[in-house]
Amino acid sequence: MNEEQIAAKIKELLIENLGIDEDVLTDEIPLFEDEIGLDSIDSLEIIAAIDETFGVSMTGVGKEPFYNVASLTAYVAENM
Amino acid sequence: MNEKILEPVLFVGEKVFNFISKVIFCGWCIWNHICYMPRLIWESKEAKNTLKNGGNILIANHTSHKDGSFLPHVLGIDKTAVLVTRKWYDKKGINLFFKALNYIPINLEETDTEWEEKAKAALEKGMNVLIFPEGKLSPDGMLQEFLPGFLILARHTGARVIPLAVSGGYQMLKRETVKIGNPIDFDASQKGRPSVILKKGAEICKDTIKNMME
Repeated sequence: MNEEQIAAKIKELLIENLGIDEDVLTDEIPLFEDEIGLDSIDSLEIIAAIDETFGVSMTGVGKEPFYNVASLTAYVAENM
Repeated sequence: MNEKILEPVLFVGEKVFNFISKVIFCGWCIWNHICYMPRLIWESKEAKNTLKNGGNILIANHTSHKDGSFLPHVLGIDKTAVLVTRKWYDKKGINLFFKALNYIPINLEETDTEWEEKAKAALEKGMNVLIFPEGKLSPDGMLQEFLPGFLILARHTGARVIPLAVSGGYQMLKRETVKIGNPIDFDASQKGRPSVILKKGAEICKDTIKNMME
């Protein structure tokens, strides 16, 4: 799976599991700021979905990989 | 060679230590029984059967540190895993007991998911997982805001959430009462953003326990 495919899958997970508007969700938009507005409980859902889909554990990682789709993609690609 | 000898010795040592911890805990339970004369009040037969079958998330109000040992005692220490904050779990002295018994640490300061894995494993074994959703002691006995993390566990496992209301204030030779309610009617697995859905669910759970306390 290349980075483009990973990013597409992550977007799909965010839209499906967290109800994020497809039209708003770009690779660069911050997930935890006003426009998307996720909070810490949502990050647990992201962690569970990433673990289930890619087999990548995000337990104990800092906030940085959760910044946006691009940073999540980079983390998954590095740890797959 | 030394490691081969050491391994079984450590294994037996751990088993012995766990056994001693359970004996000490049983002594503590007997003490609890004499001092606080626990009384269980079930909302219905369904509540009793559900709890007995295991695999549930139990949520309770939290007014004393004694809750964490008293409730597993009255609900069955081998059938109840308890979530405890990491700062308590790591405290020297008592941490040996937390580690030997069924306590699961949770770090509320960071994004911690290890607790969920351990709680899932406990549920799969048929244990009930006890969580204090306020995340800390209530200073005045009034319910504080419920953190919705326990509902993430319900969302990911489908486990039922059973409310407990503890009252009595742990006064010597006065009855400590635990009311056990029916499973809360809330679908944590519904589609949508957890931070919105589960916060609403947490409020429903808080109101349920509040009503049981009245």
